[in-house]
Amino acid sequence: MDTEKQIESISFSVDAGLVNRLGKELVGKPETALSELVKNAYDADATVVDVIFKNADQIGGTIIIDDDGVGMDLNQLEKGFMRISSTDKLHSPKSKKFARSKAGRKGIGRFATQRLGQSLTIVTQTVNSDRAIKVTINWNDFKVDTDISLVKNRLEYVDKTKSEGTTLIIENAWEYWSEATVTRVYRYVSDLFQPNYISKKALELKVANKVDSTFKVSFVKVENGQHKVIADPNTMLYNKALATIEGFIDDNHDGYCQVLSNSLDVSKDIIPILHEKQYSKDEPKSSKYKNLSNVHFKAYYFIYQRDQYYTGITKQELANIQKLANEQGGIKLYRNGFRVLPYGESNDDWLLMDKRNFYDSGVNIPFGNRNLFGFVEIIDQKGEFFEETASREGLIENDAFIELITFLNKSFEAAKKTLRYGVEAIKNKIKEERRNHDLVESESIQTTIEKLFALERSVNDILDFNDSSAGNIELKSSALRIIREIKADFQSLIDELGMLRVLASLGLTIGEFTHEVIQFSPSMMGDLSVLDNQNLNAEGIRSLENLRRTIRLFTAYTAYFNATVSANINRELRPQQLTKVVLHFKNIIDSDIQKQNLDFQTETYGYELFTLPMHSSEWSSILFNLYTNAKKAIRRQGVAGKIKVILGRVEIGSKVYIEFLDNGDGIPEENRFKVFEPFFTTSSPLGFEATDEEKLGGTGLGLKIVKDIVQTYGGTVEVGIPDPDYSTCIRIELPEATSKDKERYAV
Amino acid sequence: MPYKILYIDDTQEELEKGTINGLEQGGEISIIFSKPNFWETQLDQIKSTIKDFDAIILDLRLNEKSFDGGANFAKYRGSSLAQELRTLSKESPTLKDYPIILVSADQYMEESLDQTSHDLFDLIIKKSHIGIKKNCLYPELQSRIKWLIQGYNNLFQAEKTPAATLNIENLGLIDFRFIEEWKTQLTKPIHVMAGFFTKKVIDKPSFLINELTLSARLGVRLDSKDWVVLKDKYLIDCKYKGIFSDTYDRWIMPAISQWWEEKISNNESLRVISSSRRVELLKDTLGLKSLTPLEKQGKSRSDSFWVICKARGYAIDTTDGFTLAKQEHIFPWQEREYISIDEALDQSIEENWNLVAPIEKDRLRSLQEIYKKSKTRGQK
Repeated sequence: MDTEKQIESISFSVDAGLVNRLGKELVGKPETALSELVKNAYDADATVVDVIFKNADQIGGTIIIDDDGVGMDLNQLEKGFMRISSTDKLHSPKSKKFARSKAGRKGIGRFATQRLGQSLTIVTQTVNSDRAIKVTINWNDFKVDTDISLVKNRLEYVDKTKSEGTTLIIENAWEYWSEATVTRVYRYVSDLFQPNYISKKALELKVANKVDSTFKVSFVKVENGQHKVIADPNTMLYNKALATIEGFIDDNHDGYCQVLSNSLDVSKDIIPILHEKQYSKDEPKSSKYKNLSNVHFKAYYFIYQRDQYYTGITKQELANIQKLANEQGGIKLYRNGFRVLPYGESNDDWLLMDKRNFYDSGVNIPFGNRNLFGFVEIIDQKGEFFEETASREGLIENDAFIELITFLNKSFEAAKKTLRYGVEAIKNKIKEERRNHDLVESESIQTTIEKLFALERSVNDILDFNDSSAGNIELKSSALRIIREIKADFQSLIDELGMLRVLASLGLTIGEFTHEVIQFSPSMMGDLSVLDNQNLNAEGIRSLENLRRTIRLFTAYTAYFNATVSANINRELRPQQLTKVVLHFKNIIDSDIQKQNLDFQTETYGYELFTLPMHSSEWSSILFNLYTNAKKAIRRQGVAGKIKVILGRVEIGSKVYIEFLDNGDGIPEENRFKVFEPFFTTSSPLGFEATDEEKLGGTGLGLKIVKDIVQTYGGTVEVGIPDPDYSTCIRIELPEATSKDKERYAV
Repeated sequence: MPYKILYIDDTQEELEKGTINGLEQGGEISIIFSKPNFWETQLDQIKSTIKDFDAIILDLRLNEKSFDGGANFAKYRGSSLAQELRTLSKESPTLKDYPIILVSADQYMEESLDQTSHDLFDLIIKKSHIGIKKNCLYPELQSRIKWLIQGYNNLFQAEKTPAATLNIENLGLIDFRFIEEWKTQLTKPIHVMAGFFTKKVIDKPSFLINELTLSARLGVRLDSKDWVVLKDKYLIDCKYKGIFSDTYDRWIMPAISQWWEEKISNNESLRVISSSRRVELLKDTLGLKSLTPLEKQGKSRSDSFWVICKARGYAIDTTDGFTLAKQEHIFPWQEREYISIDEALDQSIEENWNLVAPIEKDRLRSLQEIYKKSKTRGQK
């Protein structure tokens, strides 16, 4: 039967739908896709990449990526771009012309284009080719259930638009592109940046020559014929500088320098830079640089970690620039349009800026190589003044060269001086502003939350660089999780702080109140005393008795508060003897014990039970909290209340303990630890009919406060095992006073 | 004629009225109340009117409330005023000297006053104690204030000699070191003399003892039916009748010792024998039938009682007592104060006594060791 062919071997084929899938899955966000394409241009030895957005504010716009790299010929196109998973990068990990370490990720360039828009047009030409190649690809053609080799993309030959380079035109973009998104793409590729400082003058003189590796990207928006630069080195780097320092030596050998700043208050005056050199014994010191003319320098100055000195820069942008400065910072030297190495490379300090900066004490104005992006340009066509070394690595250090260095150093010194005033002024202004903020506390609370938000944003940003790698995704999600937890913890701390503040001011009010009320007591007792000696009838005697008892209760309560408040004033640390502490407390609550008909007992096991040095007032807090809880528990249980305090010593670990027991409604096993957490209260939400006492009841902070106090002193508090006849036991253990403590405090 | 007392306080809302009522009841005291004034005005006021007054009561914090309902505050404390008043009376001896009593709402007033300030006042009371604490009830206060005033008056009028002031027949009985000291004191202003005598002789155990201590030394229970006869009749000559002798009864200890030797037994020393033996001898020699001997309390071992436990108020022998701290610098004619063993081991009274004397520490620790076993807790 001939339906079955004679098959001897079989090959793999690829479904065209794979292209779409790979595109979507390999490349995450559109920003990543676009940055990949820029990186590809870098890898192709481009020096300039222009990314143009046409009508890209809406979906369906056009993105053009135009570079001046080496371009592709047909062979390279076939074997490179058109072969999925090509080995090109494996074979050549470094770029041909400038030996750049390749920045793009292996083989996803084509998919990046697919990720961005429906159709792609490539126009590419090499320096050697006569014509340019134009390929048009429509990604919709790559349908599922189609063999990929059957999808044909139109290829034509067109006129060259430039000597070499590639232009990618992506149409029908899937997304719209906001300026923020575009700026983000710029940031992703900004570390590829290699400044090219050739000035207009050098270009005019036609001495500029792009021999050394430079790289810049610019992102431009085109709308209705209007060009707008969204991001390029100017907008993203140079214009953001804290200050620019520019200087020159004119035809008359006089040197000048000027400092400009948008945010610092610096004088814009042109500063004469005087040489002060005695060229010969007979002459006076000259202010001129006799060996120099036509020298021009410009530097962009940055102070890092102080975004508040600037206008219009974010912390992140400044941090990115700082990172870039490690590689690209410094002052580069150009002679007749040629870059002279190694001046201004990342490990070069030809102006001794780093050295001087290291010894400089005025670190308000850091002035190392990494604080400057800049260049010096010397036009010396006739080769009169400068000479290159035989190895072509640097210039011979002749008089001219030395004068050049002198001029630059003097200029930077003058610039430093000017900047110092400006920075000092802005520092003081910031200090003033901070001081004038009345709500210092709430400000710091806001700032911390703001910091956490900023941290979250930064983490998001930083870890977005290569977001598809699994390791980074995990790193990012765990970092974000930790930040979320910190935020939550912080928020609950703020809540607790707020509640404690309320309680604290309440306490202060009570203190004032009781101090006033003390004045009432002798007066009331005086009149009572008089009444005592009157001849009253039976009714009168009963009433008087009642009155006396009521007043006694009243004065007892206020005496308790008065004692507590006064104790709080004393902030001295002393070893506390537990028996005395409990005795004092018992005396104070004595009337309350009577009133509540409580059976209050103390048991002591051991002598001289001294705690480590503590504030005495904190014992009032501890005991009062425990007492209040016990009373509430007893009330809930509805029994004749019993309270017992047991004191003793724990031999092992030299601790002393106090147990507070009651016969109230007890603490369920599962709440053993929860009861010490803030705002934990078993008091059910109160209804309208709740009594005032019930309302005043559970703040839920009582035991938390006890725990805080005890833990501060290195002690422990836990729910313990109650004696028979009792249902709740709270056990506190505290370190015992050492004999040294006892000696020192004379106890 | 009621005693006139000037009371200066910056109370509001006429809160002083109740206090005044309490002090004035019974008609023996009359209070003239005044809010504090500016310093100079205040001093002038007092100077011009002081001859009419018998005592002054001052609040410590006169500078808290305005005194005329407006914006005017006194800028000084009661202690400053008292200092100034004392200085004035020192400078002009004809100017009357008088007891000054300090009251205050401060919880830690006594601690906050330094020693020299303490010396200015004959009596310091916390407002939170007035009418409430046992020794601060109004009748008590009234007695004390009257006692002070009378004492001052007597001192003022008496000849400034030990004989005239102490009114003791046989001055030779008294420790001569006291007599010398007292002679020096008698050259000083009245309030200094008065302060010395009331605080160091009457209020603390010295050669003058109170009734409780008397009962301990004689070994007789206070509720014995014949106790009153014993102390009022047979010991009448040993009773102190000098200045500050009314209101608070004191007996002259050296006189008691002499009386014991002469009248009861001259070969059995009062100090050494047990309370039962003491009572036996008393009964035999005096013919009193209803005298009950005191018994040991708590962990005490001896019944040769001699002092009173300052905390628990029962009689103990000094061997069963712990001297309290801060008594290292007492006069030779003063006696130390003690607490019982039970109190030392288990403080029950939250009173001013705080520590046992350093010299007693080791002894206390040994005792704690002995009684530790009874303080172990059973397994839960």
